[in-house]
Amino acid sequence: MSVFALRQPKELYESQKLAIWYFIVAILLFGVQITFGLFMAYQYIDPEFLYGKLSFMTNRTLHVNSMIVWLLVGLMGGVYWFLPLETGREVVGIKLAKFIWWVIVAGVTVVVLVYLFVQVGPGNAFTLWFINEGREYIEAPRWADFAIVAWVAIFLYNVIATALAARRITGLLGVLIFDLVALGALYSAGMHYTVNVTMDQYLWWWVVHLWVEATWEVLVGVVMGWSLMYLLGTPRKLIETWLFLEVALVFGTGILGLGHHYFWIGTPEYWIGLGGFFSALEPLPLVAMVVHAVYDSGAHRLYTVNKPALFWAIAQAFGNFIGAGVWGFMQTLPQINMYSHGTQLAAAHGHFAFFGAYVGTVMTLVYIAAQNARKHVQIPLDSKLWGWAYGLLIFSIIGVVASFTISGFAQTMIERAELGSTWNAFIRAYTHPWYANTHWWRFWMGMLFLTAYLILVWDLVTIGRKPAAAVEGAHD
Amino acid sequence: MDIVRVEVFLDEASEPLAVVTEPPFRVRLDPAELGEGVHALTVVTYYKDGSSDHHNYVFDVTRKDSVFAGHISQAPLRSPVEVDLVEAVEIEDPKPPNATIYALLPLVLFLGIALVAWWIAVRAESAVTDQPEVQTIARSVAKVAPTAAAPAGGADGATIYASNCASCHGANGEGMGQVFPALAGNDKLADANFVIDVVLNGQPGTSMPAFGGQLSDEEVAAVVSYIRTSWGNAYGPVTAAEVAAQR
Ligand code: HEM
Ligand SMILES: [Fe+2]
Repeated sequence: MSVFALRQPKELYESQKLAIWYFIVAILLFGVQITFGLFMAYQYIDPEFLYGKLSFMTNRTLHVNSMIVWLLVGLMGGVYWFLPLETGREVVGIKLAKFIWWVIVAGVTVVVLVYLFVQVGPGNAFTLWFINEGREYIEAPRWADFAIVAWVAIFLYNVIATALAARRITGLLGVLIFDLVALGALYSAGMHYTVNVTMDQYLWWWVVHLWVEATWEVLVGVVMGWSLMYLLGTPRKLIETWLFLEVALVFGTGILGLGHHYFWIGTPEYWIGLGGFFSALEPLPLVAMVVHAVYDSGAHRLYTVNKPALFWAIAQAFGNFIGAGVWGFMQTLPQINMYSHGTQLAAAHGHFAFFGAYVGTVMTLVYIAAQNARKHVQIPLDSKLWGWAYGLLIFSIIGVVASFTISGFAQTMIERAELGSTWNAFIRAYTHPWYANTHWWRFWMGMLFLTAYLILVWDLVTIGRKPAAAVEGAHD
Repeated sequence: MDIVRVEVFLDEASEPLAVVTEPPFRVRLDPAELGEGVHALTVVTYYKDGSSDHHNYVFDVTRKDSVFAGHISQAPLRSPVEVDLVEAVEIEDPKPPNATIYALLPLVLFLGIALVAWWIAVRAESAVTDQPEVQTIARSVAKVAPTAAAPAGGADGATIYASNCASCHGANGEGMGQVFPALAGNDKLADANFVIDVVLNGQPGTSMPAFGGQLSDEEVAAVVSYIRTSWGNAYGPVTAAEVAAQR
């Protein structure tokens, strides 16, 4: 069979059925992320809320960990969706893939329950192994780390073995394989626990920065490439040429761009120059992706087999550029970062970038799967509701980001630049109206985001159900 | 590639627009024969082994003489177009990928990165609190850290205030913003039991921490007396016995 046209057999491949489970769990965890985010937003307003029961730190752990997990699950789901289409055959080792998937689902459930009901430990080896490893974004206890590494290893095996069995390697597959190697190996850097905080953070950033600003960004390039081929029929040549350019730029700038986290943590001073220079170039590949997306959708005048997926793909290109590129660039030069480091500006950027780059991607993939999961495939896929979910999610995340940006600006100006980082300065910034009043605003924008999420879930369940516009002839 | 037949369906038609059984697998689309609006083209490919698959195209006809063929063609069409249903490269015999590059090299790279991370981590010791190194560090930090209370010889309220309270309530009890109330000229300080309670137990839900664990009865009495008698306050001192009674 073929590897070139993303040909879909009547029955979904087993690996596509698995992908649908990935997407279902991803969307559920998205809900978990939003819930705990709202708890925190309210705790900013009323510190007595859940006082003594569910601390801010526990909520934060759940908020960011569920995010990392659901986005990664969504991206991996995208690979399981497209891999058989790309290679024209069932994924090799699909039984193993299903097995480890249910182990991971069970594991994530246990980890979440332990976070919720145990929360803290004495900080000894037992805590490390069974409760919480204590590093932001990747708090999972060590036993879960091993499960995750096994999971990525099996995933990588699926991809490599399928390509070999299909006797085909495409540009997209080649990039995917090496990217997954880096992604998996870098995770192991987050499993060490060292007495020297500088060393500890030095390695921790390998996971956090080199994941989101290098390996994930490339993984997104691959799955978005497949998505565009599916949505617009963009020629493979065009997709792969752009992909190679993006990979070169992402790795070329992002690897040493790591230095923008090494300015003030006790690492050697040369990182100020290296990090400042290379991270300032990091928006370049993101510009390339916007150009690519606009060019492609323009060339096809937005005619697509799946409207919501195409619109999410376009939002992804812009969101990635603005959230990661612009909001990141804003604070990446050491001259600025010296004042803005660790303020709410980082949170503004974090929310914007993760939403733009990764939520946008996973939504694209989820809508593609939703279209094909039905008995009668509606073409083009469309509904009244998806636009509401789309518009409200984007509007309310911009609202949340705006409130973080304003409070971060107040902190940067008052606490750092004007008053020089004293305790008094901290209090002044903290009590300034630009800081304090944005808490309400953020909370209500969060509530709107939750509403939009519920609309999204409803739309995903119902979209494409009515067979009216389906192309019947092809299927019977 | 063992393609035996390719069928092309237009929109919701149940009869194929074309059935092609031989290379080149092509179909002719003529704008003149298509109604205005969005059209879907479904290409169903059948293979020798009996299996089949499909892929879809969407395109738009805006005026009778110009089909915009979406990804069938990059530009609006003025005349009929021949659409390739199977890419030439798909019919070639596939070459197996190089296993050394795509299987062995990834493994080596994976282990390489993991080893470097491990090597860096090993150079710094493990930091769990039951490690002897960590205990040593904790003890040396404890030795040099300033202690809150003045040593023997009676507690000095002013010193205790300066090192525990002034950062929030101000060196002269002036407070800060809305979060940290002023102590100078604060009526609530008239109630000695209330003040002792707040210092001992803090005020949950506010930024005021509890000091009961780190200050002795004498020290609490000294600092409460200090704030009740300074900066124009004249509410009188309290005794250690009063503090002890409230523990
Ligand atoms: C999709 C890509 C990106 C994501 C998801 C992302 C996410 C984040 C997050 C969550 C943080 C906060 C880390 C913490 O302190 O806990 C952060 C920090 C930072 N990011 Fe990004 N980022 C992305 C891309 C970029 C790019 C392209 C740049 C530069 C142009 C950048 C510049 C920065 C800087 C300078 C900081 C440190 C802020 C500080 O010092 O407090 N980021 N990023
Ligand atoms: Fe970074």
